[in-house]
Amino acid sequence: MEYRRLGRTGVWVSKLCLGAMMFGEWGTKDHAESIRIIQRALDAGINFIDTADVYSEGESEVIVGKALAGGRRDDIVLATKVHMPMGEDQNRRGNSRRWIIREVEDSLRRLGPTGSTCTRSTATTRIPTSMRRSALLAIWSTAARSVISGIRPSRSLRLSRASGRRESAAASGSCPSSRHTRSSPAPSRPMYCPPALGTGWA
Amino acid sequence: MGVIPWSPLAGGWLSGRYRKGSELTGPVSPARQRLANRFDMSLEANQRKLDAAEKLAELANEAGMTLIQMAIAFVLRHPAVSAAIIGPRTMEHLDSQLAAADTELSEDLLDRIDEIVPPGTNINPADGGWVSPALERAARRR
Repeated sequence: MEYRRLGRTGVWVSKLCLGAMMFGEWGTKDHAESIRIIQRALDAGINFIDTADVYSEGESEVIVGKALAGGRRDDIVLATKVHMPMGEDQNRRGNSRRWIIREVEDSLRRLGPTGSTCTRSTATTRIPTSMRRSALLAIWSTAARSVISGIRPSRSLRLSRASGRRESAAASGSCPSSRHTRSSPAPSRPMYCPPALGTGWA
Repeated sequence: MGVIPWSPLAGGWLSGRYRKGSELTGPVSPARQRLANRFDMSLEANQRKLDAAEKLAELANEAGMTLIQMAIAFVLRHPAVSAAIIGPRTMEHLDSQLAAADTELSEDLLDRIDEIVPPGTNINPADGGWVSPALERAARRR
């Protein structure tokens, strides 16, 4: 398998990226078979997986999470997406800062593993370091315009203003500053971000 | 920015399943069945896609590769592309697509592909998947 640089991120990805739209209700409904397909792809050298919140209404992310459990996730470059409607409400879609942050959290939870690594950070009002990094890599979008509008929020995400959860920000009295985010309790290991990702999107 | 094109097999149109004379039953997956205008054979644009798919399949055969290999290798040949997103639904799909990792296309073959579908052409505009808001009706004066 040949590996290529993903833009200017410094990350090397296999030239075949495993798209996960067919795993779940929209395609192969049997999770075990989907997981076998994913693992065969990894065995063949694929290190790049692309899923989305909307694929089978979140089921694809759950299946990918299961397939990567057991130590395989650390060396995978995992992309997920946000933009398409995830419900009737007009704010459960699109590229608003509020929705992107909310949905990155939800995607991380669906991708698992459950537990302290990726549970949402409402208690601290802060976006965990792993999540900020993940957002840089994982915020892809379903349409070209969303790539552009997705990059901007992820940039500001990197600047670490407090998350869009105003109620929790008020509760803790935190101010929007990078120091707060940096001082948030870091998970034991960053989940979806290869160490090479230093500067994010160019 | 990395470019990772989706659907190098055009939703199955370049899988070898869509050939002249074969019984065309439309896409298997619910995900694709929603995109009816990309598969409706009563549309003239989709008939032209079938013509192109037939010619491309013959070309691939002549070049000693599957249409799947040729289609994915074609996408990967573009210098801006970091990776092509494959979308297997079955193990057989995956194996047939992994084979493209070792496929190289000659200049001559690329020229012949361009003759069948000239660069920049969307035979059926619906396959573009997205229209820039700047081009939507409300943004135009006429």
